[in-house]
Amino acid sequence: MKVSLYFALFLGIFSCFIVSAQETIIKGSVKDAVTFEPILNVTITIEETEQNTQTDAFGEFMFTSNVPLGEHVLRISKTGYITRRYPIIINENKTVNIADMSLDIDVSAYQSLYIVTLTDDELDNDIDGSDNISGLLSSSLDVFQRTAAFEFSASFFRVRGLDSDHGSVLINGIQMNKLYNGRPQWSNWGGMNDVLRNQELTSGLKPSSYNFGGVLGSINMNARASEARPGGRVTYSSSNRSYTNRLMATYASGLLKEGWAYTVSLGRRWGKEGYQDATMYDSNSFFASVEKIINENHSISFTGIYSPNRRGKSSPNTQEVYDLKSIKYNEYWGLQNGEKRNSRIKEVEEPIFLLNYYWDINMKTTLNTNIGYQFGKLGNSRLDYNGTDLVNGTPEGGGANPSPTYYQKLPSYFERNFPSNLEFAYVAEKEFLKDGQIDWNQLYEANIANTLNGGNAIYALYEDRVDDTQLMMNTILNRELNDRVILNAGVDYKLLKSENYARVLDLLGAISYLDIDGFATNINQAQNDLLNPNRIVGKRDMFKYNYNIFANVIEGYSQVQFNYTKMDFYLAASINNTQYQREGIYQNGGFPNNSVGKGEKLSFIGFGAKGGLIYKISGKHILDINLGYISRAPNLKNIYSNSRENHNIVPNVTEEKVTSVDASYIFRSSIVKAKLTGYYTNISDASKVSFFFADGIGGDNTAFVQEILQDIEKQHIGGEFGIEAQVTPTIKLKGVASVGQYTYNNNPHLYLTTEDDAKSITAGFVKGFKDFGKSNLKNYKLAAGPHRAYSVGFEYRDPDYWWVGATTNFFTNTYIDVSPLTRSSNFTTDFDGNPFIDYNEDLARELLKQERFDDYMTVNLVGGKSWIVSGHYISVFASVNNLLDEVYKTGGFEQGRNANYRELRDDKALATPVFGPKYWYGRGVTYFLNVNVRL
Amino acid sequence: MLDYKDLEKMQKNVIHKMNRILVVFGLILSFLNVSCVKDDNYNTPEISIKAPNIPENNITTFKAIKSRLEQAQINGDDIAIFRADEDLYIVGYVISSDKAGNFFEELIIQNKIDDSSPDADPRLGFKIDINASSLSDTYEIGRKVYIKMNGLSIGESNGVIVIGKGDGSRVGQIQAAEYKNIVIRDTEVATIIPKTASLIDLTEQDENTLIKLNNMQVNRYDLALTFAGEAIDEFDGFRTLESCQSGISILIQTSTFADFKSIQVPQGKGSVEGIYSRDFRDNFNVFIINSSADINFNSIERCDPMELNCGLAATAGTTNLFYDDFQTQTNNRLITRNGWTNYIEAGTKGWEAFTSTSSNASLGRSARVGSASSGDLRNIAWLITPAINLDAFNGETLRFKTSNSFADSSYLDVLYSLDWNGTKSTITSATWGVLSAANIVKDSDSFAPWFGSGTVDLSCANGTMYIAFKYTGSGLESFDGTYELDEVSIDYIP
Repeated sequence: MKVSLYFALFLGIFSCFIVSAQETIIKGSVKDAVTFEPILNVTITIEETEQNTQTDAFGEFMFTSNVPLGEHVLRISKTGYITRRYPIIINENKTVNIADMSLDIDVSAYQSLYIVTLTDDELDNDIDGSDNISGLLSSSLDVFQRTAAFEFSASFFRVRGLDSDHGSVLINGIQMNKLYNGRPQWSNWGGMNDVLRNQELTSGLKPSSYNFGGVLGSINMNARASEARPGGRVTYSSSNRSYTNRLMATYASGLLKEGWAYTVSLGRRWGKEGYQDATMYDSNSFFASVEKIINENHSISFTGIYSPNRRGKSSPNTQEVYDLKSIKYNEYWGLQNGEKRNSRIKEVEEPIFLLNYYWDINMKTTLNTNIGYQFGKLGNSRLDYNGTDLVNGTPEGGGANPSPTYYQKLPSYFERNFPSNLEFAYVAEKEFLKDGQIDWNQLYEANIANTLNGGNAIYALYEDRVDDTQLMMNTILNRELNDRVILNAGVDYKLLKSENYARVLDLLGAISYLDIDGFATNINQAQNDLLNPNRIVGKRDMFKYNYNIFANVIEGYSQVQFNYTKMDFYLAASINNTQYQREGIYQNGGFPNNSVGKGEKLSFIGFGAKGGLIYKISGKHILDINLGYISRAPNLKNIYSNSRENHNIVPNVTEEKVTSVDASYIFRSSIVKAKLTGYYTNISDASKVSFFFADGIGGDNTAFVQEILQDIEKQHIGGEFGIEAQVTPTIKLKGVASVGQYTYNNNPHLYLTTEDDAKSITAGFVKGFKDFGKSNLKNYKLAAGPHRAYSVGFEYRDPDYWWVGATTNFFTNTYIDVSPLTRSSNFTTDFDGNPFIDYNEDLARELLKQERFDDYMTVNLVGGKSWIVSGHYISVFASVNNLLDEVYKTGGFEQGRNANYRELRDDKALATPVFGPKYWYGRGVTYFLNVNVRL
Repeated sequence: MLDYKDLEKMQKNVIHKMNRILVVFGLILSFLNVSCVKDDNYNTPEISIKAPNIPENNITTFKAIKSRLEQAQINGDDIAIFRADEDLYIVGYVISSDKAGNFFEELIIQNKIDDSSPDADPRLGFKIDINASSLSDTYEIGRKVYIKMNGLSIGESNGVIVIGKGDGSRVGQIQAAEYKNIVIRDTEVATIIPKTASLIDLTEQDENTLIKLNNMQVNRYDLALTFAGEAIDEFDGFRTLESCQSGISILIQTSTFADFKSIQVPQGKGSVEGIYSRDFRDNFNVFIINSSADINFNSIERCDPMELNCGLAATAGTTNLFYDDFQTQTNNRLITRNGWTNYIEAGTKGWEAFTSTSSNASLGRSARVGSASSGDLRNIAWLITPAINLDAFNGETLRFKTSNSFADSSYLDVLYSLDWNGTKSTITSATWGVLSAANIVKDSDSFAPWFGSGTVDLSCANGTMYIAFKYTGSGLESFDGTYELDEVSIDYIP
């Protein structure tokens, strides 16, 4: 502070000397708001006359000739800084001296460089079962949140261990989180970084001006054309992470005469494979927004967003597979006609249309009314290998699991089953190393041979489709009650029709497929649709299952914010009603009375209340406390226990309750900014439905099972610390720590559901349903990424328009997702319900110990430079992640197959377990390069 | 101040900029939807199987391979091993399919596509044991294949000849990673014409080959069952398939993992194609089908015998009409006198008397019939009671006891006739029906005990009745069981 005072004084004195008293003069100086360093080449414009000049090396400027008189506005602008306007009064023969005007670095421009690497990449990487919340934080100014977004995202770090469904993502005030899982579908607006850079973040429980929000906060992306930075820009990026190339072009008109403004953007991202093998990427992006400012009080905006996206997925693998191949290995592909063909493609095509009406009722009141409409499709492809022919009214056929990592093909299987013939394991290993991918030709051969014999496809490529049509409407009132009190209130309505079905994509050389479930006990139960029994389907036909989900959500909220000198505080409340209804289009043979037509209408009422306080002890020391309680309807995903086949819902399903409190101490000086936070979040009455093909349910067959965990209570407790220090005008040091513990806080109830067939009856299921009682999960850690993460780093920003940064990040306490089934009574009991006679408690405890992954460290480098070449601003940005090529696990899950004591004991006793957990590994060293030209 | 030139310059600048932006947009547009990334619309791959180039000299016959096993067995070995450098192939055709799940981890191949069987290369079949499922994806029925014998072994397993990997003294499985280099596909997919045969003519040489049986039906007692979906079915379901012509039967074996296991057995009669084999324990012959479509019982009309089923009587008649415990007969001589008609329809064996005090004891002296070591192609032996005038009495009942000494698929019928005239020459032309209420010792029953028939009620029939004990067997080991009979008693209520 002292330094800057002297500096100001010095500037003042200095300016006095050179000024001649008898001329009309405007002069002054400009410095960096944070570093207090003078800034060179700032353009100073007198708005009325458009006269302009530039600052010199001392940050000084002066107008001496033709200076207009009276009230004027000085515009101070420089690329990379936020433009400011200063009102001045110019009197004849007087000098206007405004020294020490300050400019803030335009963080949005600076950060957009980062955002591109995120929204494109990890964010929509929900393909590997992990969830990434970085997008919620990337626009933050807070060092902790920024570090979490940019440095921790590759590790699937989650702030406070929470899922992204606790945060809201809005575009122009409309919430884009999916009702299915509560998460934002990032790929819906991927490749549009240039036009969605205007972001407004409210973190945690803090009040947002757009909605009530969850405990992770909300981010609103502003796509209004009138507020877009005018001009054109072209961006090219190259990377080896997910896509190989990206090309984007954007033009924003700025405000044109008669109040029109428009923005258009086109983008393409593509690549044959990313870091993992055969993860193809193919996405185009179209964006258009037009706004008409009718007058001072009314403005209407229309925005269209369309970003079709296709990506090849990569598989989680057992350690055995990674050891034999590499961390880039992906089991989902195989060569066809010399090309890598991935059997699991995720395709998202969900255009969004937004109509926004902004009404400034008066100086203090605004009303913002928005309508959004989204439709389209989400498809996930996979291979079916159970195609059959109808012979004497019974399906005959079915193929072999084409997965190259099917356990019976791996060396561990032979080691376990033929320990005295290790040559078998050796041959299997050699074979897997040599090939180890899907044999598409074999699938074609089998299908073609069977077709020649008059049969159907044995193998088929199909997709699970979700076609959502959603209408969203809301209106948001903002009113300044007085200088200190702001009122926000809003009503929000959503209507969703979600069509869910499977669809044939490719019959791989065959021409027909028999649409029945070949595993069922009899031909009636085998019908996927009793209304069309034994149906033969072809390419592009729907099959397997077909149902609709209707949902509507209405929510109202209100909040008041008070701002005083010493203290700011807020109070907010919300109430919402969520209704779900399932409508079966197919009558499932396993559940003939409970699958077709409309099911019961389910209704959930949620309440929210929150409040918080910022107490400013002084300008340097601030306390910030927030607490909230939110009850909310379960996400669609966690409502229906087996929605593909019947109307059944999760037993005792109810609203999920979230209680959260946090307290922070904030320290701010001109050099150091620091924040220390402690938090506690409790989530109770949660339910979770997961479905997967399980091996070994009721014998050696695969079955599609739903695992229902109900009455889950989770506890998230921990602390966060972030500090940044501007040690010199060019060097900034950063340090961040997140230390948390995220655990199950009770023993939830476990149920499994599956087909109602002879197999499931043998396994103790009644009508395809089995109650496993409590699963002893209490105190097991949640698989929520690293519970502890630390980062230290620096940034050097050279006055000559280049900068570099480096961080070292440490991650510890990352845990595997434990299998609830293994922690249930199923683990200890023999077939007759009695405990295993050889059950050993100590050994059992050892077997059920949760795997903690190795701690690891990554080093990331970033750097950039910008030039002005013949009036065009060119910037280059590059980053290298995981420079040291550290090999680390980001997540994993136990396979459900070793469901009891004996099986698990015997499997774990092997050198290489047959049914070991499956893992995801982080990427090795990767790069991202970005070139941006402003036209 | 801006002058006109500046304005013009600015305008030009703007236009210039706009143009450049348009060019960029155009460029990007041309990128969009260009299939730089191929991820759908795959063409069917070129599926062409190349004929392997195997020198004719290295191909040998099934017979030669089989004789290697026979040599080994003479030397006291269980299996014969082919050296790794032997470079020997056999060529055959796939006749089994695991598509419907009735075969599992095995391929059955035979050397002929029809019933030809020249002496130099007689018709034979082998089982190839492979540790892989869905083999029919690769080896469909009729596919010509070469088996590279190098390093393989041949032996007997579950009663049939099997080729696989030597594993000590037995034949183990060829592993999934290697079978494609052992069972080598040719381009030819032949239509296999099965050998049409009668059950009685089938021999060991027909095992592992495709056989067609005509004029067959499922035995009437099995008609209510599924192929292998009953609670009693473990691993495999067995159902009796019988010839309408000869009455001879064979068990049709179906895996409980077969897709069609829960289908009810076909009710009519007709033809069936399948593989002639042995049961898992090598106790009896079985017939295995690839698919339920292999059974063609189109004729609704069955060939069931006439049946008398008055059921069992609550109590036996109190007054005896006919009784024989064979005490008056002579051991090892054909049963005579006491009103019996003893008739040998085929072969050299008939009902004779015997005594035994071993664990397989007779009841004092008893009657028996068996075809073991008869050398006969076929044995049919009748033992018929005197005529019973049903009109003259009330509440007639029949009781007898049976036992066996390994039935070996031969069988004993208890029949009745109301139109036989009592002379041997008309036995086969008379109408014989079955006394279905009578309990007869079964193939699967132990040889030691004697089984009571139950009190068979005859009173619902009218006229003159003869009761016959008819044995069917042959000199073949698989069909040469022995049946024993005693204490035949016919009573009435006065």
